[in-house]
Amino acid sequence: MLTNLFYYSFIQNAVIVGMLVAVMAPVIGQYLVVRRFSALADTLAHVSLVGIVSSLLLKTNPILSALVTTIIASIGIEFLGQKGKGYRESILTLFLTGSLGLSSILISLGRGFNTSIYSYLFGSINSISISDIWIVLVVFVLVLSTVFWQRKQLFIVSLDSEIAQSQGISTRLNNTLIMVLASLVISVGIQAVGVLLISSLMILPVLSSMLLKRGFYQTMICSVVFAVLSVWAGVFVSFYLGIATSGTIVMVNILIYTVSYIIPKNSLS
Amino acid sequence: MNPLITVLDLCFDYEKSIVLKDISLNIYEGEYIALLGPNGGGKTTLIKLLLGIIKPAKGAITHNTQPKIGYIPQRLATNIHFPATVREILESGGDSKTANSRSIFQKFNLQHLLHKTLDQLSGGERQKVFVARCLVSNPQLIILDEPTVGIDQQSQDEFWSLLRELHQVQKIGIILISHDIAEVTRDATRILYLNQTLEHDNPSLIKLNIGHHAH
Repeated sequence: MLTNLFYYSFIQNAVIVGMLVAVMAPVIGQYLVVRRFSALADTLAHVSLVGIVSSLLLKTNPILSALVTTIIASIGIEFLGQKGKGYRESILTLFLTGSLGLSSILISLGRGFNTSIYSYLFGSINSISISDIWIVLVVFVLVLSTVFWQRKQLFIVSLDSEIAQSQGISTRLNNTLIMVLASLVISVGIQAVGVLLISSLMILPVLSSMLLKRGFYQTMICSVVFAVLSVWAGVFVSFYLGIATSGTIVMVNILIYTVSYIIPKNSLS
Repeated sequence: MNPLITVLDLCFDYEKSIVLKDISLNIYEGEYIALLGPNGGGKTTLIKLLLGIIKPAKGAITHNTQPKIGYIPQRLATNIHFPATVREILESGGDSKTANSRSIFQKFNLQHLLHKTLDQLSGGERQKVFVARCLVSNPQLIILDEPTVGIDQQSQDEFWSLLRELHQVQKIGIILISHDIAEVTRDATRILYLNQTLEHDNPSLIKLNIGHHAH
């Protein structure tokens, strides 16, 4: 059955991009979850819609356009948060609803690209090209090497921002870094699972692995395993059942979370 | 003796209301300073200024020899679901493989806890882990904000004797905010009473007079 599946080159591309995103997404997602900022993933995903719709209107590259808008939004969110212009959570709502409002206006201006929008909202993992794979690969190397290089600072800021500041680590720079990395992951990940569901690939595997009560890096590895497993299962199951791939990926993640919740923790130690 | 930290005419405002006004003091090596005062008196603000977490509106703080300072904030007690083992937390404080670090883990009896996550520890054990984390980097001064909040009496007693030992045996300086007046005034070598201004800066002889109007 697997041989049949890989007969199609679009499935091969889908699996390659899906795997790369599945490794990156929960790594960045874990930093957001432990900083109690997981709603950022959903907000930036919605902000990326402004970039995508603009690119459809202006006929530019949607991934690069999404990247520019999400990075600008990340910097704006961090700036307003630092200035104390509202609770961080409310600032996220400001950006989320603002970007949805702007997107809907832009969509109404560009009558006729509703089908393209749908594929970005829910993902179109089966229409990924070779050039898309290269973009995702570059982002993959950039994101993981940055996380590895900054791992100690990222850990300390996540543990306690005041301890980090007392050690001379700039929490502002560190937060901006993690937001920019999240922007990168979201911009390339929306092709795989779509604007509305990318945050699930960043957050749900982390929530599942945190239930296993492991250390920080073991939790991260478990999250990556869960995310990779969900993408494999999502592509495979959706292909044979003829259902939406992105939705299946999310539902597999929900299933993993449920199983992690039910399993008695002492059976794992 | 040169002070470790010199504070001169320090002022801090928050949203146009005065939090600290004209604070001047020297902090010397090996002092055990208890920082007392009413809620809103500026105790936590002063230690955040000393640590460089926030910047003063006016005045200056000079770290004369770039002392290594360890910090244990109060709200650590609430972040117990952070997914990290004791080993990972200790390693984030410095090189945990040195002989010094190993002897700290032994002394604090942390060897058997190294693979446990924060939420599997008691409040007292968690507090010990964070003190040990500070010590891994060989600090000259440790600053603690309400370190015994939320931990049981026996763990509190152990914690106070641990701080006493760090101060008396290892000669590490301590600055401590606590509402446990009896404990801190017993061990501290200097009491600062802060209520926007530095109302008292006294050694141990006068500390009993401060004890009863600190609450």
